[in-house]
Amino acid sequence: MSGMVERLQALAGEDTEVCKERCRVIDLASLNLFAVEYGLTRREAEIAALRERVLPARYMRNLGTVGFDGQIALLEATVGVVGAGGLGGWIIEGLARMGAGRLVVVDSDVFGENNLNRQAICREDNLGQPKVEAAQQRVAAVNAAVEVIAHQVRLNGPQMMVELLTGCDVLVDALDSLPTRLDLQRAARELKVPLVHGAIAGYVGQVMTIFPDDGGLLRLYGEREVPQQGIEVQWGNPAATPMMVASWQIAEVVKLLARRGEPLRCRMLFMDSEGGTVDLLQV
Amino acid sequence: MQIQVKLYAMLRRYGPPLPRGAALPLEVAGGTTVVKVLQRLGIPDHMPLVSMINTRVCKTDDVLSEGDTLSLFPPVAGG
Repeated sequence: MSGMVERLQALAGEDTEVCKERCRVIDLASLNLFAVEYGLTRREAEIAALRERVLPARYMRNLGTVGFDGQIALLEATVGVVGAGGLGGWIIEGLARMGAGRLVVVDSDVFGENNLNRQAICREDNLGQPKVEAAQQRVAAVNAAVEVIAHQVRLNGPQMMVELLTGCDVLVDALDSLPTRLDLQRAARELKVPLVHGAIAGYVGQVMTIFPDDGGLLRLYGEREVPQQGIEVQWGNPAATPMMVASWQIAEVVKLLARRGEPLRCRMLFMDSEGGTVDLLQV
Repeated sequence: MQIQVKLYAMLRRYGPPLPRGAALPLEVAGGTTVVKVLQRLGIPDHMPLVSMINTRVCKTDDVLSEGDTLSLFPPVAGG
């Protein structure tokens, strides 16, 4: 398109230093103007800017850890977030802020009062609203570049998951039942994409990134009859544990997409915030 | 023979007080199975748990060897 690069340069500010890197920064209003002028979505406008090494101001504090190419990869990615409750709410919030371009969010549930203690998107004024719909609204308010594809359905078997999650680059396990998690790993295997597992109970949480060839949860739980639920039935889910585990999951997704760092692969992080311990179990 | 047992989360209560993250050294007879260790620690047999010998997920009738580390942790499934 004619003059697009020049227009971007004109809208961007002076050369500045961000996370020890010299680049030009474009603010939200200018980016929106640029998008309208060239008939682009916000995400397309952000990607076009980043390709010219013009940094949207909203990602200034991302640059040091993901870089320009990592930020582009994030915006071009599709992440399947399965579950929009305790873990899912924070994961959706975090991925939207990081600029993960498209989120496929699956959850059959509506918000209830017992979600208020820990679920990021649950508020007193949206009780009764479908979680996926509230997630869509929350993301639109936080980062309009991020598209949410919402599925308010009860998951029933790996084949259904494969159908809903085809096209995702990575899947995130934010479920609340063991058998459904095992199905999700089977679906991730079929889709040949990594799965970032997280689970919580009381003060305890675990995180692991499972690649298609890894044993993962199927190895951990697959050999005997699986209980529907774990010790969370007895210990409940206080506010801090889902935040901590979701934070690790967000970091895992970002690392995978931005191709940075080392995933928690074949290593399950097991944290017990009551005892103040974090262990890495070889799985 | 000697083995090490690592108890995680609420399963810690079945061992003596140890420094955080420390393994419990246990002297057991050769051929001891995981279930024998669970019984010796007083862990009820209905308790849901995941057991691993070293880095391998195991069943409760698996046999332990000298120097093995047996890790026991609860299934965690909330979200």
